[in-house]
Amino acid sequence: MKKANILALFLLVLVVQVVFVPHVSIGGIQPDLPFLVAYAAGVHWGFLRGMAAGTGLGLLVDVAGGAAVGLSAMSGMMVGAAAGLLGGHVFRPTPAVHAGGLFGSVLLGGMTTLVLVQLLYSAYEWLDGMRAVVLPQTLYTVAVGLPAVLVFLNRIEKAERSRKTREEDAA
Amino acid sequence: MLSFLARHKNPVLFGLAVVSILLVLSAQAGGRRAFETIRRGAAVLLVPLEQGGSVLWRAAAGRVEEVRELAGARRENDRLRLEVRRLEAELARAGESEREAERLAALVHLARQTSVPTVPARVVARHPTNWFNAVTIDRGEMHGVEREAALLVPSGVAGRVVTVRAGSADAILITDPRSAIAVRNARTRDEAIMEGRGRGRCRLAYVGQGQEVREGDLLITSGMDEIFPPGLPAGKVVRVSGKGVGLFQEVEVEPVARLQALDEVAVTRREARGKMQGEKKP
Repeated sequence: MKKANILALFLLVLVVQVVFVPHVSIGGIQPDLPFLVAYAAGVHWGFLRGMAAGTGLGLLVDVAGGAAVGLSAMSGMMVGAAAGLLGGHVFRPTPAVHAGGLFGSVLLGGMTTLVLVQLLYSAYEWLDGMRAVVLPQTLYTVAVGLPAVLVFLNRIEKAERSRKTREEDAA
Repeated sequence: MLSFLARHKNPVLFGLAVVSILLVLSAQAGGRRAFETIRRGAAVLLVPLEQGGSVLWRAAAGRVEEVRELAGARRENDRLRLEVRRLEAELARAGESEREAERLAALVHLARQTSVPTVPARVVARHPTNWFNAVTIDRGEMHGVEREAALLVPSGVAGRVVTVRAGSADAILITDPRSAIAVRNARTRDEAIMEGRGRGRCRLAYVGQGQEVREGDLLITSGMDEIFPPGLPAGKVVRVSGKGVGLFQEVEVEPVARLQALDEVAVTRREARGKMQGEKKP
């Protein structure tokens, strides 16, 4: 993907997250789209690019949201890195592997944010934060995001396969 | 050394990234405000996008409502179908306008009631994560909004402005973990600090064992913080625990305002601060 396309995708995800996603929140909990993008990037493009995508999107969220800069960047990076590890170790991930991987990655991202929020703002007790925010957020994000991630990864793989075939034919 | 770095590139870069972000975060610990220039620069790009998205959302929601009304009209008899369709659509639009007018009228009434100058504003975006309760409004410096201005709704107080730009501002809601407002128990007149706890909840801080607090007590703003006009409903006590244990009681509070469904708010203008301070002087 070109750099301009990546930036456009990041901005689109951010706008959708701040404008549209709050309208589909359940009990005040909304799915976390930046985590989904970080996961997809990590699984498909590997550890470093997943880390970079998660950090970049997280920084954008931090700058737009007004909380401490680095908070969402750290959690996004964790999600991208975890997804990168998964993508690097599993040769052909099935939907079930993606479900588990996405759950684990988003859970890790949420737990990272919880720890940082506790350190920076002395807010949320551990169990309360896990029960009230991290777990519901993870379940909602996986429920909404798994089909989207599967479709997204499938399309990218198809596009890359057809590009390779074209290049081979041309050669 | 170089071969070690090459062999362990991923863990090394990961470690460097973690340390860098922790350094950036530590620069902001204790509520220190940093990176304001970057935030302002980013807002120039992001706020118009958010406002555009907000307009799109409202338009789409209106269309969905129209379609819903039209679907209902089809069940009417055939002779009246077309006429009903048109009328239902018009009614949907009129209904939405009427509800908006009612909300704005309530805000105007609130401004008169509080006798502090306010400016109406629309919420165009919410904080992108589940951890903070913050919103972006479409009014800023050029409309008389300044930092620490209060966000009010007809049912009570909603939050305060933390960052102001020329045409927009960011505000934290009273449930945000960074929020603290001066309140008074309407029944006992005891003063206290109402802190945000996140996830739509607040608590009263430092309520001593000698203080009498009951479930259902209404908390109103005391005006001691010079941010919120005094006498406005802020929250209702929903749970009191820890009586006779430790120095303080645990008091859980539910905000009076419906913060999940904020569309329009009244924001106190910069003249309001002077007025509130003037009222406090003997």
